[in-house]
Amino acid sequence: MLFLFAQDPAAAEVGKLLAGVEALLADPVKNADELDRRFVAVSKVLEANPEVRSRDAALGWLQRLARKTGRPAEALSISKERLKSKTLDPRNLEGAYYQAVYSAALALKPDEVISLVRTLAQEVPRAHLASLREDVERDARNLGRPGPSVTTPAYDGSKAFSWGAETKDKIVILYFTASW
Amino acid sequence: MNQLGQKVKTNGYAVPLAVSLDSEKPALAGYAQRLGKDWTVLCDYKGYDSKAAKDYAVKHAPTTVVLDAQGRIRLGDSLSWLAQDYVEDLWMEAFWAKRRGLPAVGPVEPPTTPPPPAPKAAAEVQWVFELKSGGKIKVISYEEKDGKYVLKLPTGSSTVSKEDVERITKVEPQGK
Repeated sequence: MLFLFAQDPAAAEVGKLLAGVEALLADPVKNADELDRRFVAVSKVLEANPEVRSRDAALGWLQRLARKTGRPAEALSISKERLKSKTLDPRNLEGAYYQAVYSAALALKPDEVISLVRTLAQEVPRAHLASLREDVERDARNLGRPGPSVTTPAYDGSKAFSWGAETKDKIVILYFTASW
Repeated sequence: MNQLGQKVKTNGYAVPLAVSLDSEKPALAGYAQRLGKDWTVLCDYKGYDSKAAKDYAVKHAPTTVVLDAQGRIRLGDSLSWLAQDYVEDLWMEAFWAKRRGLPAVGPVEPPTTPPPPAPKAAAEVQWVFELKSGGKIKVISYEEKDGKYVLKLPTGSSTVSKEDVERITKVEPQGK
């Protein structure tokens, strides 16, 4: 990363700020303040230096930092800026769309999810996500809707379960599955 | 799925529920064992006719759906391969919402999280930004720049896109 940012003071500063971020992201609660500090600092450098070298790479990190510091709307904004960037390597276009769709879902923006996946299907028709376009659009329309409570009894041998008592204030992962 | 179940169970911020669409007990027994102890396994032996499968319009297995702490659907099956990171991001959304004094738009802070530092005096807050997503941000001061608001917060600084802001309200000083 440092090589990429060489010979450009602003890029060097960004490189310095992003050094070790991957390790910090391994525990975003413990490192919350440091991640927040770095997000703000990198944002300022990029804002003051729009032509900074390797801006696209920096934006890629910044969108991850935005998500981990509770800024889903900004993560989406950064993801979209990255898609518009003239310096985005075409080889990274599909990945950039994936990140943008992810950010839009996290930011509870169903219209953005639908718009992004449609554009992806036009620009990168062979992308795996493009092949899922109809499913993604259907799921996007359900974003933010209340999930029905699950009253299915616990399987014998599994502990007793009560929806509400055990799911209150918790994220719930529902995994519909079968043994066959 | 075993890894995801283990991770969220260890951290305590999510409930991993496996809703079995099996219709025979012997088949399920072995599967439940393979899934691991971190998952709560539910089953009424009605297969795709079970109420939960119908409620969530499940057409195939496996299908994954993620709900946030307000019970809202936040991730559907088509993006379920993102679930591991996504669940953590939902958790961080709630963590930071609480720190910034915003209403909970995501899950509450998990019990293992250290208490946030005491906020600065509430009197410093001059503005409340109401977001279109339903959240609110308490702001000391702000300026407009390149289609964004640059915010000074009691806990630091942030930026927010203008198009994401529903309303900006001036906070009246208390006692007046």
